[in-house]
Amino acid sequence: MNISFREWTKSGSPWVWLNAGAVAISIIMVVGLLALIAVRGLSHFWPADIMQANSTVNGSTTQMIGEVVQSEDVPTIQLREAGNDLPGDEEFMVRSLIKIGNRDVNRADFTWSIDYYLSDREYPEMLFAAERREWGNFYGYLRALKENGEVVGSYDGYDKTPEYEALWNDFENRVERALDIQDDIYQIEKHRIGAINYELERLRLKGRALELDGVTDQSQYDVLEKRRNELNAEYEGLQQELLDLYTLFNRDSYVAEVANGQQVEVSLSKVVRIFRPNNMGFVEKVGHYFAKLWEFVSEDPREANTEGGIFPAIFGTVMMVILMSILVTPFGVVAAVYLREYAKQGFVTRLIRIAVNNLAGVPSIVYGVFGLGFFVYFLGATLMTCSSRKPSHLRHLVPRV
Amino acid sequence: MTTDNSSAIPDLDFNTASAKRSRKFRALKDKMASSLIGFGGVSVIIAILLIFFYLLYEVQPLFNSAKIHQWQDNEQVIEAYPAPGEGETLYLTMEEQAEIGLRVTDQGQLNFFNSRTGDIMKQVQADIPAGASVTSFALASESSRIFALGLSNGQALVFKHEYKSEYPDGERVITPSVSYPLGEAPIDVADTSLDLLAINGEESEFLLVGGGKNYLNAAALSLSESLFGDEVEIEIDNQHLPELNIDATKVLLMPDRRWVLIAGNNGKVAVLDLRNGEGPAVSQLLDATDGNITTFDLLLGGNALLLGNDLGMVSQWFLVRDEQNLWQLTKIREFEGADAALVDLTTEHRRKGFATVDTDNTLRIYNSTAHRTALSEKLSDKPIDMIAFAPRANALLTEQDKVLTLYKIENEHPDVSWSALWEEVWYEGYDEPKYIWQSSAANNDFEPKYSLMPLAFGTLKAAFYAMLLATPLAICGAIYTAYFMVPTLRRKVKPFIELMEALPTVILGFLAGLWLAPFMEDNLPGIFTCLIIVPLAIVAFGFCWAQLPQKIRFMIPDGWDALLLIPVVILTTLFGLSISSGVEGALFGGDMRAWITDDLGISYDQRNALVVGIAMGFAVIPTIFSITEDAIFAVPKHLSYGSLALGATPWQTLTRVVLPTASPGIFSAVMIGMGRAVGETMIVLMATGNTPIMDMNIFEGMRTLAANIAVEMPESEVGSSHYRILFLAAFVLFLFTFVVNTLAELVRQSLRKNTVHCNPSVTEDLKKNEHLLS
Repeated sequence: MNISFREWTKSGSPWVWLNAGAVAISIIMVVGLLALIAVRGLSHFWPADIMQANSTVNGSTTQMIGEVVQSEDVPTIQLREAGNDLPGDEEFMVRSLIKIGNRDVNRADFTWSIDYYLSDREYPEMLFAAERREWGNFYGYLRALKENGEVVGSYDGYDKTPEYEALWNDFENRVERALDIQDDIYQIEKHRIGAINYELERLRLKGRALELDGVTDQSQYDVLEKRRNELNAEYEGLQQELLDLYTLFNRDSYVAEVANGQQVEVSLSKVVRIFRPNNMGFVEKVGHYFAKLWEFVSEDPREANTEGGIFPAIFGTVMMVILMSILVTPFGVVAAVYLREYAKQGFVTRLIRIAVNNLAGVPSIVYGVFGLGFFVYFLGATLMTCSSRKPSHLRHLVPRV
Repeated sequence: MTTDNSSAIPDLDFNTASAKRSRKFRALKDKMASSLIGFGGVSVIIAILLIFFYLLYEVQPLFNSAKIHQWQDNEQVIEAYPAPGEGETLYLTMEEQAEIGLRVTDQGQLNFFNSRTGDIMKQVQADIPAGASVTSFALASESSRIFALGLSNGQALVFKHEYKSEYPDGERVITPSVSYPLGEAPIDVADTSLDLLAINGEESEFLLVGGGKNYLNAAALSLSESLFGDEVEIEIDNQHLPELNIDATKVLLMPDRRWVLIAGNNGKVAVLDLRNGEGPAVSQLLDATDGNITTFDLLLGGNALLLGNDLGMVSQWFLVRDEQNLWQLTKIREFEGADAALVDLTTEHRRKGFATVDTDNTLRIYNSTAHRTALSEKLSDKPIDMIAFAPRANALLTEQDKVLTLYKIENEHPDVSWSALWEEVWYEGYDEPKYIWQSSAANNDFEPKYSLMPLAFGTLKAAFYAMLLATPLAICGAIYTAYFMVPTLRRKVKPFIELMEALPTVILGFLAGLWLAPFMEDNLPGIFTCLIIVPLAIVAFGFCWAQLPQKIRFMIPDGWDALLLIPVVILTTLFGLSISSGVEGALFGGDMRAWITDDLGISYDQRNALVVGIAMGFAVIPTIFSITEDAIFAVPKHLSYGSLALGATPWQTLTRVVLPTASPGIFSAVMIGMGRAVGETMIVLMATGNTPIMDMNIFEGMRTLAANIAVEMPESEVGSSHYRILFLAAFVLFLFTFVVNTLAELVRQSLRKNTVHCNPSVTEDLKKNEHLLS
């Protein structure tokens, strides 16, 4: 049953199809957006292979080791204008952004390179990457391990031999050990010393309170003083413990060969994680991926928020949402119950419905401005002046105007 | 095992004391719950009113008039006191805290006095050469605190008054002093008595212009420190200025030391250009005003001239470049004044404001940018000779027949007026009146430009482009979902699209700014190709589908068409993008961006309205889709069945029966979507350049009210005009969304009523979807 185009248009079918198209586009947009976020975001943790290549620019050849982060087509003319001597008549050339790491050696983490310059590309299995607490990632060949400055193991080739594997295993164990010590140090610094400081501060405030109340009984002060001395002694002990831990922590270091044959020594206390992406199987990569993902959601940020995790941000978000829910849920539920069960449907309920819709529709920035002005500057300032019976010892802090 | 309950009626007493108590308690609880819940319901209204009135409370001081009253210390009015020092007053001013006043007299006395009591704290006698007397006075600018005295022997003395604050014993002590920026020795300016004098300059370069009625001389001074830095050498370069026969009464020198402004008789003003190629020349001679010029001053910054006459008019002038690229002194605006002659005019030290007094003893405080009279008040019955502002413009000294009175001024926000916010304003340094938002700058004499117009325009522009994308997509999608789609699919598709509403807009903004904007810049022709070919491909596919044999067509039942189209749309889009560079080469000479800029003459920003339109369209689609879908779905089925039974095609039924019935709902959906687009902050903040321009160009950015608040709120000083204007911007946004949402809700409420009358079964549907509606 063939149908002519004219008849088909007359029936309104094109419009129906266009409407169907709108739904299809909407669905594609949602799926596409979610996919884009997922692909772009989640691919970040997949361990990229480390490339080794020779870069020949203007006759001089240098070695380059790093991860290819991004490649793009650039018009050759533009590259020539930038001062590159490029032969050939191809209209476009590929330019790659390479993460060369080793900021302590190279000064920069990333470099752009035109693929035309790169030759002898290979992905040696023995190249390793180390995530560090400073200077960003490290890429190189493991050469030696040192304990207290003395070499305990070394290897000088580029091949995967049992000898090398033994050294690598030792390396891994030593990194593991350093991380364990790091944990202990963190425990002491954060929790145990923190607890002592907190109690010392409480004691100081207690003493201050006694002074303000005009207590002259020396014995009460003595009790505080005794406790303070105990805490100070405990603190000294912890300090010593920390000192010992730090000595252990800084014991090991590794020597590695970076691009162009230079040897670099790095203390293991700076290393967070070591891995050899070119040597990893798929399963290992998946394991690494999830370890990184877990690190991302559970750890504090490192290196000015460029590495590490986002746990504090997640904590803040969840905290805010919980606080908000606690404060606001009763309010909303009560209003809803009133609208449905208590109020006589009429002018007032219509008014309330309009108000509810407006509360939902007011731009969030207006709430932000209102919150800042009303709660911080207006209520905040008023509450401060109401409760301005400041203790006398703080009075000198108030600026005289 | 049976028990006979009926045989013995249990002895129940409902009026025992405990039962009564518990009933009472229950009633109390019930009452409390009612009032609590009632309060909860009403508190919604209270919340919205609180926001409304709080914003209003923050905005309202902007429009307050100024207040003036005599200065009070500890509720003790400071009485007037005789002017300290001897001679006639040449100049009156105060220091920062308004604690110390300075009165310069024609005896060459610089009297620093306590502004509350009039007691002289320090008196400096200018070193006037024997036989000479002070004949004129010139002020460089209030903020530089440099002034000069012209002498009858053609020489001038230059002073600077300075103050040092110290806090011995926690009490503030201010010590005044006088310094000599050009040395203590008199400077030769002219050969004749200096009846007129003007000075300007900074650091090491100064220029003095002085002379008599029709004769002026300029003395350019440059200071250079000698090799060892212990002595300052002054080089003086004297120059005759062209003669003017206008009986000059006042002379002014602009800070660039290029332009000399001379007031003459009968309202004449002459402009001298000192840096003309062939030496100083008269560039303009104009009849500036009726009557005689009585006050002649430069506004803060020295770029604008304030000219007052004996008819009580003040006008503001600046040099504006005309078509021939020549600077012309142009009248910018006139200030409504009194009928009486102006006696004195004084400028504020930190703002573009000034005050005048006239022979009627009325004080008027103006602001030039806002073109506003902040105060107009008769101060006394005795004639006022002179007025002077304190640097913070919070105090005013008046002199009446050698008696000084200190006034307190409350004038926090003179720089805001309706015209400054919403009308074109001619700002200093511009060739014409313009709408400009520029709230802060690095220098102190900056003229803040608080026009909300570019922001409101940007808001509507962003909303317009977003709605342009979102409305057709959302409404068409909703029509199909509600009317044509099979229920099983509808139940999945609808929540799926609504899911998008839960996506934080900051993610959309982030992606739009960092991914979409560069992507679109690279694939611009592809995007436009897609806009054309995707609808064509959809229609073409539909027609082809209709040509297929029934066997294949019936495999996919009606109402599943949307799924068939998904691959079509994806493939067409990919095709459109892949031919992007081909299209670019064929139509736009290989670079569409360059073509737009060069051939169309439209400037192109990477983060432009198109990016915002798409990103914000994303955010708005689910809102409009959801409400429209509900409205269409709620149209009683018997209406459409009736229409279909009478032989109408589904499309006819839709356009003639269903859509008219659902139109109020669709209207309210669009309104709510509009409200959301207008108030959206993060997307526009991240995906536009945030430049406050007024241009409908789709390839340029904008700054919206919401983004502007987000950008500037953290850096605005609490309580300042800027801070309150940001609140005003929030208030405008609030009002806009309030109107839009209220309108939408009213329409929806009437719709609900009507459909309830039509068909009781629809109420069930409506109830089911209530959570989406409200």
